[in-house]
This record gives sequence, C-alpha cells and structure tokens, in this order.
Amino acid sequence: MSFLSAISFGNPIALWGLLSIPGIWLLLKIYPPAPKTIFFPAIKFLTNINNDEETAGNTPLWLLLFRILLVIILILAFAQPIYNAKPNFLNNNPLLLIVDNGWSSSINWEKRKENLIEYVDRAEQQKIPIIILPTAPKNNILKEKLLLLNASDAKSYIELLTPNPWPSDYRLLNEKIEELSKDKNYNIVWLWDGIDHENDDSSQIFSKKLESIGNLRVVDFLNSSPIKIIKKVSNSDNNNLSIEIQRNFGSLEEIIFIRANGNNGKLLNRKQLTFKENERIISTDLIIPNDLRNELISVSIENVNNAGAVYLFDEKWRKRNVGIYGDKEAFRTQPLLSPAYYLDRAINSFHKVEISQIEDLIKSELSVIILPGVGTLGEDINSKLKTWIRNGGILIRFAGPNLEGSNTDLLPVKLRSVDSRAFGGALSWTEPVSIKTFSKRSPLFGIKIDKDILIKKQVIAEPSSDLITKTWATLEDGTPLITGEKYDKGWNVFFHITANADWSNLPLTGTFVEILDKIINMSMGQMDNTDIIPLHPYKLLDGFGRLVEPTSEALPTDFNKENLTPSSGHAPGYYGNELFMRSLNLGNKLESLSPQTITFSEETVIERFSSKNTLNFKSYLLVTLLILIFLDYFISLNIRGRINLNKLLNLSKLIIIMSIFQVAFNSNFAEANTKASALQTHLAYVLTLDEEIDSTSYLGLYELTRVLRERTSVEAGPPIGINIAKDDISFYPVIYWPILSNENFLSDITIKKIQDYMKNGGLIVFDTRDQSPNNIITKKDSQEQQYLRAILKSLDLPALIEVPENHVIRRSFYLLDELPGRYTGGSVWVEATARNSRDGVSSIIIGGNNWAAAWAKDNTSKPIFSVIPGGEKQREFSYRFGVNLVMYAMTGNYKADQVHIKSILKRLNNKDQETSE
Amino acid sequence: MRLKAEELSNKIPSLYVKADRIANTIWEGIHNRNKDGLGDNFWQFRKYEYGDPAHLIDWKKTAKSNETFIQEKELQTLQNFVIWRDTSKSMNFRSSESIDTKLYRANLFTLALTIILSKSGENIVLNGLKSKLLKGGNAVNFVSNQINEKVTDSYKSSPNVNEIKNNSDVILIGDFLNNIIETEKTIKELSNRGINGIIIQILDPAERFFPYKGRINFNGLEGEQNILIGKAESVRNDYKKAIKIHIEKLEKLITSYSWKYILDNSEQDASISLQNICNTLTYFNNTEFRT
Repeated sequence: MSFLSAISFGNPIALWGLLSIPGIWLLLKIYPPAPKTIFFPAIKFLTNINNDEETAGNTPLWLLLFRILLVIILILAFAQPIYNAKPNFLNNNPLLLIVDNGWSSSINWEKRKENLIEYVDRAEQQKIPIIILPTAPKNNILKEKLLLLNASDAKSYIELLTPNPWPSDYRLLNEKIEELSKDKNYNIVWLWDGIDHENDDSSQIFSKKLESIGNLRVVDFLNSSPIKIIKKVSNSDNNNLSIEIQRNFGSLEEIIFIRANGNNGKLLNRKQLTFKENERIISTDLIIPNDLRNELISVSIENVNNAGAVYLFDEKWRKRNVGIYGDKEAFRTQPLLSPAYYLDRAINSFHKVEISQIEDLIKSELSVIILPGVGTLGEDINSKLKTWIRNGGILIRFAGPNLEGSNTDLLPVKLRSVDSRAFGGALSWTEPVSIKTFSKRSPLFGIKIDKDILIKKQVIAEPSSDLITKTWATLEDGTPLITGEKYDKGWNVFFHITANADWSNLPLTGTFVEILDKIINMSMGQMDNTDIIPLHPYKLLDGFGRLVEPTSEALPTDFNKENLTPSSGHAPGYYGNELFMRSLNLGNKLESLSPQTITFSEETVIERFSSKNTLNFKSYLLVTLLILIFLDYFISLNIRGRINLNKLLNLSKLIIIMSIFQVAFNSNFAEANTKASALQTHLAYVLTLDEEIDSTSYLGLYELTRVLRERTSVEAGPPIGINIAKDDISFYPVIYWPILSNENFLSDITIKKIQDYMKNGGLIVFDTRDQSPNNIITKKDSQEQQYLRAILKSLDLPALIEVPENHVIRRSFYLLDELPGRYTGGSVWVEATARNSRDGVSSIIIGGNNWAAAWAKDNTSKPIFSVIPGGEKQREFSYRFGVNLVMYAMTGNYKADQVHIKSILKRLNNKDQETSE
Repeated sequence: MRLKAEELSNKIPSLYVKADRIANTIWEGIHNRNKDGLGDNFWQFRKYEYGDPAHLIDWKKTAKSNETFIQEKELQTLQNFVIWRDTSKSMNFRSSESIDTKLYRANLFTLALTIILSKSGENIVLNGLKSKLLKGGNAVNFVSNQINEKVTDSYKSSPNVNEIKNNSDVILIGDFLNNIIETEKTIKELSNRGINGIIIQILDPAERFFPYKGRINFNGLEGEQNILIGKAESVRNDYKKAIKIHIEKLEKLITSYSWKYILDNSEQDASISLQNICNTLTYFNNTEFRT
C-alpha cells in the first residue's frame, strides 16, 4: 500500500474524465461494429430484400473491457500520476530555494540537482515564482538583486549551478535575506549539507531568519558516506610526505586510497589507508623520491570528488632556480678547471641553473646562490646577500685558494686561517681522508657514504662551542667538511673544499649531486616580489576537485594576506602564471569538519534525503497507450477478417528466426574464413572474372600444395581463392595472380592493400599466361600485359630485372636453370633492388609461363593441360619452380645467405673426423 | 510466375487422380455393350468368312492355328458429347476452406465425365477451345491439359453455341446464378437444333442456406454493387426464398425442354453427384448405360 499512497496526481482534474466511462461503455455497446466484408456470388438475390435492421454492437466483452482500459489509461496519463511526489506548498507565495553548494556538496550533486528540479516542478504546477539562493555563490551576491524566476528560468539556473570549491557563507546570506520583504510568508526549502563550515553561530541565525519569514522545509543531505579532506601535507623527512586526512564523521570503517599525481595524469604513488571505526583523522607518510618531487602536482584521495580532497603543490615544492657565480667565458673555454662547470653538471638536471656575476644573481630572484671559491665580497653585495638569505635564500659557498679568512661574515663558521699561514697553506695530508658521517641534525642525513670519496685538501674551521651543531658532514679525522647555519628563513652553507676536483674527488661523484639536491630542496622557492601583489588565477579547482581553467568570476588573490582561505571568488588552485605558481589549498584551511548543529523550530519540516526518486508516470502511460492502440487495431482487423492473426504471428516468428539465423550464419561464415586463413598456411590465388581460370588456379595450387607436402616440410592447407578487392590478404605468404585482360581496374584502397602486403613481406606472382608460341610469333604486347602494366603503374615498385643467374629463386630448394610453366622460355621478372626492410627479398614475380596450368591435375591425377613444347620433364621442372617459389616466399634470402657454407661444411667435416676417430 | 506454374502443375495431377478415381468407381457399375462393332477395344476372334475385309484378319491368331481368324472390336456408337463449364469469377467462390470452390468442382466433373465417356468410346469436346472431337485417351489428355487454361472471355458465363455441332449431347456445368433468361436463350437455341443436354448446377451451401450473421458488407465477384446488410440473419429467410424460386424456375425451364437438371451441392461428396449424372446419361442415351 505504501506504493499506492506514494502516488499522487499532478493534474487531478483530469480524473473526472473517468466519469465518462459508463457513457463510453454504452456508446461502444450501441455503435454498430465495422462490417465484415464478404464476397458473395449470389449477391443479386440480396438486392431486393428489405434491409432495415442493424446489428447492435456485439463487441466481445473482453474487447469492450480492453477499450475501456485504453480510455482509463488515457485519462490517467492526463492526470499525471507521480510517484513520490514532493508535497504541495501551503500557499502561493514565492518559493525560496536555499541551496548549499559549498565544497562539501559535491558528493551527491546530481541528486541534489534532481531534488531541486522536483521542487521547481512542483512550484510550476502551483504556478508560484521561485527564488534560488545558493549559499556558496560565485560572486558577491550582495550586489545582485534577488530575482523571481519562472520555472523554466529556474531550471536553466539550476542546470548551471555547480558546487563551488569554498565553504558556504551564511554570514553573507544573513545580510542578503534582509532584502526579502518581511510581509510575505515564503515557502522555503533548504537543501542543507549539514557540515559546519564556520565554527560560529551564523548558520543558526540564518535558520532563525528563514523560519521568521516563511515555512521552512529542510532537506538534510547529510550523506551516509563521510566527506573526506586532506587536512595537512608537509615534508616529513627524506623522500617522504606526511599527509593527514580527516573525515566528517567516523561511525564506520573505511578504506581509502591516496594518490600522488604527476604531470599529465602520471601516478607517482598510491597508498591504501584505513579509517578505523570512530577514527576521524589519520595521517601517513607517502614516499615521493626527491627525484620525482619536481613532478608532483597534487596529492588526492581517490574517488572523492571535492575540492578539499586535493592538495596542490606549488613552487615551494618544485624546481629551484639556482644561480652559480662564475665566469661564463672560462666556463666555456676551460670547463674542467672551472668550479661552476662541476656545479652546473651536478644541479642542472634537477633545477634551473643560471651562471652569472654576483650582482646579477642577486637581482634575478633565485632560490639558491652558489659562490664557489669566492673570497672577498664587497660591502654592498655582502649586505644584499644577507637580506636575501634572511628572506629565505640559501647561500652555498665553497672554499678556494682565494678565500679570505678575515671576511667570515657570510660563512657559517670561522676559519682557522686568520693568519697568513693558514691562508696560503691549507692543510695537506699525505694520506687523503674520506667522509665519516652526515650529522643526524643536518638535512644531509641519510645519504649513503661512499668510501671512495677522498678529500685531499680542506680549510679548517676554528673550533667553537657551536661548531658541532653547525657541522653537517665530518671527515674521518673529525674535522667538518660541510657546515651550515640558519639565518631567519634562509641558510648559509659552506663546503670546506673546492667545487672542482682540485682538493677532492667529491665533485666527481653522485654523492655530490645528492648533497646539493638536498640542500637546494630546503629552499623556499623563488624569492621574488610577486608576493606583494595579488596573483592572477592560473588554474583552479572546481567544486568536484578538478583542475580547470579559471572562470570569469575568479579574482586575483593576495598570498601575503593573513588567514588566506578559499572563499567566493578565491577558489583553491594555482595562482600566478606558467613559470611561477602559488597554490591555494582548501583542506588545510578548513577550520572544522564537524556536523553542523542547528536547532530548528517545531514548525520546520526536516526531510531526510532519500534516494527514492520521483517518478512521473505520464510518459510511461502514454507509451503503453500507444502500444495498446496498435494492438487494438490488429484485433479489430482480425475481427473484421482482414488478417489472420495466427498467420501473422507465424510469419513474424519465421521472419525473426530467419533474420537471426541469417545474421549468425553470415558473421560466422566471414569469421570462419579469416580464422581458417590465419590458422594454417594457405597458398592463395586471385579470383578473376573467368571461372575456368579460377578453377585452373585452384587445381594448380592444390597440386602444388600436395607436391610441397610430399617433398618439403611445407604443409599448407587447401588453396584459397581471394577477392582482391574485398578479402584480407595479409595471411597468405604467396598470392598467385593470373592476369585477365578484361578485369576491373583496382580501387585506390585495393592498391594500398596490395602495397602494404608487399611491404610487409608478401610475395605476389603475376602470371600473364601469354607466353604461348602464338604470341611470341606475333611479338605483340598482349592485352594481359597491358593490363598488368596498368596495375604495376599504380604500385610503388623499384626497377624490375629478369631473374639473374644466381638469384635465390633459382636455388631456394631446387637448382633451376629455367623457370617453366605451361610455356617455357619466357622471361621472369623480379625486383632489381629489394629494399632493406625486406632483407633483399623481392615482393613481386612477374612472368607469362602460365604456371598454374602446368601444375593443375584433375581428380584422377592426370594433368589437365599439355605443356608446350612438352615433355613430363618440363612439367616436373614447373613443379620444382613452384616449390622454389613457395620456399622463396617463406624463407626469403635464407639460401643467399650461405656465404659461410664453406666454413660450415668444414666444421661438419671436422666433427665427422672426430667422431670417426 | 514459377511458383504459380508449380502450383498449377501440382493441381492438375491431383485433380486428375481424383477425377480418375471417381470415374472408375462409377465405371465399374457400367457394363459393356457386348456387341461387336467399330471400336477401340477388342471384342472377340471370329473365323474368317467370305466377304470379310482382309484387313480385319488377325495374322497372329491365324498363324497359331489352321483357321483364319478375324479380330472383332467392340461396337462403339458414335456420340458427340460437348462439355462446358462456367469459368466466370463467381465460380471461384467457396464459403469455407473445407469446401471446394465451385470451379474446382466443375473441373472435377468435367474431367471425370471425360474419363467415363472416353472409356465408353464417345467423342468428347470441351466447349470454348475450338478443338476437334476427341476420343479415348486423347480426349482425357486434352481435357486434363486444358482444364486449367482460362477459357477465353466470351465463353465465360454461357457456352459458345456456335461451336456445338448438331449431332451432339451437351453437358453444361455451372452455377447458373445469372439471369434465367440468358440460360433459357441458350437452351432454346440448342434445343431447336435438336440437341439434348444435361445441366449441372453447382451451388455452395452458403448460396443456398445463407448462414451469415451480423453486419456484413457483401461484395459481388463480378463487379456488382456491394450491399451492406445491417443484420444478416434477419434477411436469411427472404434470401432463401429468393434463391429457391430461382432454382425452381431453372429446373422448370430445363425440364420443359426435356433436358435434365442436376443440382450439386459443393459440400457433398462429388461421386454422389457424378453417379447421379451417369444415371441420367444412361437414361439419356436410351439405355446404352446400365447400372
């Protein structure tokens, strides 16, 4: 009964039409049926007969009921029965549709949309205007007027409505609602997503306001599957990203996958995580090797389509611009002496490198500046560099002969070279030492130490209390090799060796690359002034967490702003340009993900969203009606005797069965043919317009197949005739093509097919069959030759030559002087220079010896055609040619390859001797 | 085309077989004339007597004995039978699938009569084809070959009187539902030339008893105006009366010229009517046939 009670009528007035049914009943009863038509020879005896009485409608009862049913269905269809219809609105005041379209509403947006449309339909039926108010609008709704929409406008508005990747803003709505006139009692429907976005009472105020201006109906869309976001991403340690994921409620256990996405949809890593029951936050480490870090675009939760489930990485995580101080000229002329060369080689595969003068480097907004072997820095440069480091730059310096100990301002440690002795004489060992450890505190920890690295010279730091904390790498004797110090946001790093191979072999090793990469990756990204001005949107996330081109509503965003969160106009995504991007993420900016708690007044109806859809029966009923009307037509035809229903049924059955068989057979047949060709080797011949030639070709090839089976290891199936225009020829190793002068010319597609066949190693034998003595005497070009010429013209062929003495086809199985068929002596042509791709194998053989005729035997194994000039010897040689031909097609230049035959024979001889000994 | 031809060729043998079977059952009851004379069938050997024509001598028999024998053939009276059947469209009628069409029945009678008559050595001609008088097997072959040919239009609903020779007997087969005056004209003309005849009227049971019910649009088969009958069962009695009057008139007319009238119900077994016809023929031919 719940089904019936869920049905309501959109247009109940039409149901009054049911009253007419008794009338229709009577009418059908009274109205005379359509007369049967009968042919009657004795008709003239009827002419003078009194014919006043009419037959009353004697429609059978079932037909009567059937027709009444038709009428009932018609009436019902017009009454528009609706299953699960939305309830009626209480009054005719405008419908105010409040739609939560914040980021969290993407989870079942289509259903929300359908729900909205249903309400609009309902409003349409009651003819009341509609106001739609999204809670996460694209632009500032305060400036826009609230419009009363009619149903079709409202529908198109809803079609365009999408979830937006920022939270609902009830504060804004609270102001907006003030615009509505207070005297009306609105019908209000609020599609509520039930997520607390703001941690304050604005939503509660909002609901109170709504209740005060009308009848509020809340559709609670709180979904059974939790909403998940990526709450936090940070660099944990080497090669790892630490990721924290949160969901809005934790009542059930749930398995999710997080994925690290690279460029162009490349998947860098994927990891399974499990939310346990009552667990709302989980965190994990995702391994992203440093080498891949630059490719990392985003981390996302699989199959979760909201903007919060995507975390975008920007420049902070990306390639750095590294500046190396060096002389470009020296770099070019004597690269192996220039420290910049070693650095450039170590860095430029991971980062962008710029080699320039210090002044230029400071200007050009770099993340890392490397100063190899620079001693004195000017006062001005010194201070500029300092500011730059404080803002987050990383300065890497290398020792060198001209490093002046006195100027240690921009070194992490003091060097023990204040006196001149230390200056000129860096300590030297007789025994070079290697690296002992990378300090646990340093970013270099974890790099594998290679004992092959030997340090011959270094500058030594002045011992101090904080030297140990500053040391990143120590040598075996305990002296520091790499030291580093933090200045505000930036770092100053010092290598106690040179950047070239003078003092050590470290710059020649992979370890050097690793060390530099680690240090460079510590940097913040490009240091630039763009932070000051707002960045333009570059690519933004939409409400479903997809990166799309920014819409016109997107606004430039100032990344220097405190508490920058995605909001209307400031969607999460990339801002900036292709070269420089900053990302704005939603997940880490969301303050809360807890269920929203609003106390609604008692009048407010709260509707749990159910997946049960409203179903409008009208169209179904009309279709049923149409079918029934057709049925009725046939029934009445049958009653009038116009058609025999049984016959019709049989006929249609037959037609259906036949068509099924036809289809089945056709497809089977076609497939079977191709399959057969693919499963076994078959010789093939081209079907001509002449049946006799076709049968000769068949019999000839059949006999040749038999001969092959007897004498060689080629065990081919029966020959197959092919329609060159239609069939797939790619399965056959060799195709015999008897030329007939009156053939149709080939289409471009066919020529392409033949060419492909030849290119891929097929062999076509053209036989003009015209080498008969008659033709030789007349010495005229036969029509066959002319036709062949026409075919060959369209094929892309190299020059043709007569088969040379030593051609492989003369010795691929038998040694042959002549290549006879039914006729002998005619010249046989092959490609002069077979292309490399086919290993020097000709893809075409042309002759006129009518080979198939010589091969052909009838079913009593007697030759069908005599050979000319004659003799069974010639026939035997024609078979030998056939064998050679097939061998040639199958093995190619295998025989020609036997240049080493002498040595092979020799080896065989030796073996024989050994065994005989 | 081919399908139709096949259908026809299938039809002819079946018709022939049926006709032959019926004819044989009838023929069995008919005795020979037991008189020697001119005929196809052997009657007896008789010793040669002076004056007998030499070509009558049966040399085989003569060679077997010392006497000279003559082979005598059974007597055959030369009588010409003209058979005509109505081939108009209305003959194609049958009221249900289980009943033969009137034309089929007419053809059946034609063929069966040809077989019977040819066995008794009569000359037979199928009216409307301008053929010669035929005898014996030839007649049967000819008729069975020609029976499904459409007889040319002008001879459709009445026989071609001009084709009928004076010393003939006429067998007219049809439904004779056309105006009785036309039939009378034919009979009168033939009768005036001293020709005797039998008229076999084939009627479908529906034509006699009008079993229709309800609202029916009646169409003629020969282009008559259609008639819409509101309630067929209400006119049944009137119709039956009308058709009865027609039949009675026809019979009266025929007997008045001392021709014979046979009414055939196409629902009945054909052999019943055929027996009836043969009986009439026997009577008709002055006791030449005896059952």
